[in-house]
Amino acid sequence: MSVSPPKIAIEFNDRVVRQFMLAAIFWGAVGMLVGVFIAAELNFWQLNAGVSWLTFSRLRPLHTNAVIFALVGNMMFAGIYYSTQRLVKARLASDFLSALHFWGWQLIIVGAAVTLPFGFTRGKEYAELIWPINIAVAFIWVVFAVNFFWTLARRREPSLYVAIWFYIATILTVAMLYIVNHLSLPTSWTHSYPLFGGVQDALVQWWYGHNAVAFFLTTPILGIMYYFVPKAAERPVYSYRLSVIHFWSLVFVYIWAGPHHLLNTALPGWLQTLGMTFSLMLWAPSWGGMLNGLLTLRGAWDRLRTDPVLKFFAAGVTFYGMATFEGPLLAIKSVNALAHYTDWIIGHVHSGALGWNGFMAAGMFYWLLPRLWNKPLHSTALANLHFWLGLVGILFYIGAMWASGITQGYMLNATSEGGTVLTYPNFLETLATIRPLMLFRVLGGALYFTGWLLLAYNVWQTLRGAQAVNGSIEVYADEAHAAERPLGLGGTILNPPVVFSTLGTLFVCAWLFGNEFVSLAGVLGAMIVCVLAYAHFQTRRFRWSGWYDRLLVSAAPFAILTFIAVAAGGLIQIVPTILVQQAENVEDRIQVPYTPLELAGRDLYVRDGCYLCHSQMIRTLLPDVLRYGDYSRLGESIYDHPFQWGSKRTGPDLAREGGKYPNNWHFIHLRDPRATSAGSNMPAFPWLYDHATDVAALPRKLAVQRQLGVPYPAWTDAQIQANVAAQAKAIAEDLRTAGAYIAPDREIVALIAYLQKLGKSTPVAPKRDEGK
Amino acid sequence: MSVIPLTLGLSLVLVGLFLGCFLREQKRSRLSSPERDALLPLAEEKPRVVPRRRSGAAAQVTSNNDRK
Repeated sequence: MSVSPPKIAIEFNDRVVRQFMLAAIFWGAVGMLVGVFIAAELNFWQLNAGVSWLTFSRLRPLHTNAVIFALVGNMMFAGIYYSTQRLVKARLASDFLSALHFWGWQLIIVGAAVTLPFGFTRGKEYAELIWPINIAVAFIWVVFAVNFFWTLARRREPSLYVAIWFYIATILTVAMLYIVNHLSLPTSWTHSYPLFGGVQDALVQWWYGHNAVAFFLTTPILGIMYYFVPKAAERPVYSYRLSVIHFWSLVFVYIWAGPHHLLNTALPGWLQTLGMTFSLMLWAPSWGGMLNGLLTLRGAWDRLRTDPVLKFFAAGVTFYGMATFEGPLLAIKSVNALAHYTDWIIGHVHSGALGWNGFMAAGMFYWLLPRLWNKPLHSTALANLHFWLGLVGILFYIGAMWASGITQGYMLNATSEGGTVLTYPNFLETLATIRPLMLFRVLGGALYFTGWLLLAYNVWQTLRGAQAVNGSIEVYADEAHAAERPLGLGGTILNPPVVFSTLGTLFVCAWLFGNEFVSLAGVLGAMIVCVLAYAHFQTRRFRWSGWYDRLLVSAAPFAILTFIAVAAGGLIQIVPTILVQQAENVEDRIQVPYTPLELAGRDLYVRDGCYLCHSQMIRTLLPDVLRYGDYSRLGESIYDHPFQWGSKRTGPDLAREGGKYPNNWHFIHLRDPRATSAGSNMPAFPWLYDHATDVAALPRKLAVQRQLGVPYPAWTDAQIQANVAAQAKAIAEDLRTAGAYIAPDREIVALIAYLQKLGKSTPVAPKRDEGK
Repeated sequence: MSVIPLTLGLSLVLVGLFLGCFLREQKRSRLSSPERDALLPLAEEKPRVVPRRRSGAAAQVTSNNDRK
């Protein structure tokens, strides 16, 4: 007579899920409110009330960090922790780590909210937080990783569902991206310079920036899609096999797309083409995921009429498809020549952020709410209203930005008389044209924000009198925890797929980077490896499939291989760029290092976020050259830590601003932009005239710049002070002769010194590269 | 260096790799199967009320049982 094995109950830790969910809703409201406010400021510059911490350029980083790290971050953690426990049939490994993760993350968000508006910034987009907070982020991310992988190690379900693969890729890749792009040398507790400068910094920044989109805003939400859409639709994913292809192709291709943010700039041409091509290829895996998500709703389409959860999920996945078609389109160089620096890019970002991230979050929250608190949703009608308000808001937003971006792009690029003159030489003429469209953006954002407030209200009303519940399951006590025959290190590396992939990659690298003989050997080797791999697969396919079966249940090897897949793109793009940036490779010009006063002025430019509206990169395009001067060379920004190429032209490019206007013009312009530029929407910066430049910080800053490779002499503190005083005095005297009276130690003097240096460079005789 | 052969070559290598993975998936013997894995999210669970104070085991809810 057989005895049934005993069963044990596992209760999931859903407390941390509830915490992250409520935090996401709260911070989402904060982030969206800031977004609506700064959008309004672009039409009504007076809204900052003359206060520095309410100015657009100080608040924009707060908006982006809040919606990315606070809203999507908290939402992602809620979804990952809820789904992972159930998919692996194990409670989260450590309640302590879960609590540390939650409270640590909220503390980081509060730190960001307190520092960013007051100008404590690294000056790099989505990487603005000062270095002590960076360390906190890295620490909390490690806590998250340990908690997650420890839970996987304790799992009772040997097979790793596709959502888990996406979470693994997210955790590993975000760690790699974040650490590399935040490598800095501190100059004080609240300031640092990034290790990379100029074109290197540009590439690292957008390798990080686009992959923040990829691995923070996309892959974890795809994992969430693969769990919650089947749950809500009560049917399995459309094609599990498609999800296999989707995952591997996405994580490999995404990493290469970063250079599409730098098209037509001083970035080396081969990198631009690489980024463009991989961005185009990315369309396929992205739509694979979109189709998989949408077609999961087969047989459940009628429920869209009444179920707000499915409405949000269906619309969210559709916006994902839209954004991942628009992205590759924008990554084509000729399209990018029109769109870069315009509102079209903003529209693209927000179709993904509001449509994909925001709607997937809302759908997940409405699904989780009654299950985490064992009480029906307070009002389905309000949830449906949220959907429609949000949808209309998104359509207003992106429609306005498409029209605005394309209009401004065409106007700025328009030439007459055989392409010899600009049709619209005055930048402000284009701004005046798009202003009404910018107002529609405010309306769209406000509608979306209102919908989010309805969610918050609905949640609040549902929670009143509700009791929290944790999910639980019963499992047999003797079920194996981990896989049978787990893969060791040898099994991870010495197997046909990895060996052939590695050999093929090495041969392709030899083809790319070797001289004639090595390059030829690389081509032949790559072809031979492909043929051998195919032959081996055909004759020994059981070894390939047997290995992959074991990989699926071996979390550590799976993680290692995923990490290698994502690291390859970064290494191949970044390492050659670092090696290549030597003095002889700076084309025909090299930047003249800033004087101490100019460096102080540049740090004020970064502090006040001027780079958010003004670019410093004249592209290799005729309209750019006609409007701003000779195109920017790679060497002209080589000493800029961080780089200032910019990503948006709400105002004109400043790459060759130095010497264009007298000192007095800048003095008047920064105090009252409309006095020099009628119709400008730039806010006034009155605090620059009241505060003294922080000269005491300069010795430490210059020492760090020297460490980073900027050729400063080893000045003493006294020499630095004297240098600053002499240059400041000269500028102040020049301003006085023009009728502007200011003490030389004011910040405006330092900023004018910096602005007048822009575009100054020394000619360099290009070194002939023999033998290639 | 000409980037078109480069990007075409890399794309073809990638395509071949993932095609190989997909074809291999078709016939493998597995600890699991795509059909089984696809059903993992749909497993049932029982919600347990979280006690308001620390006073013993959590009580099973009497309604909304076997929630999906």
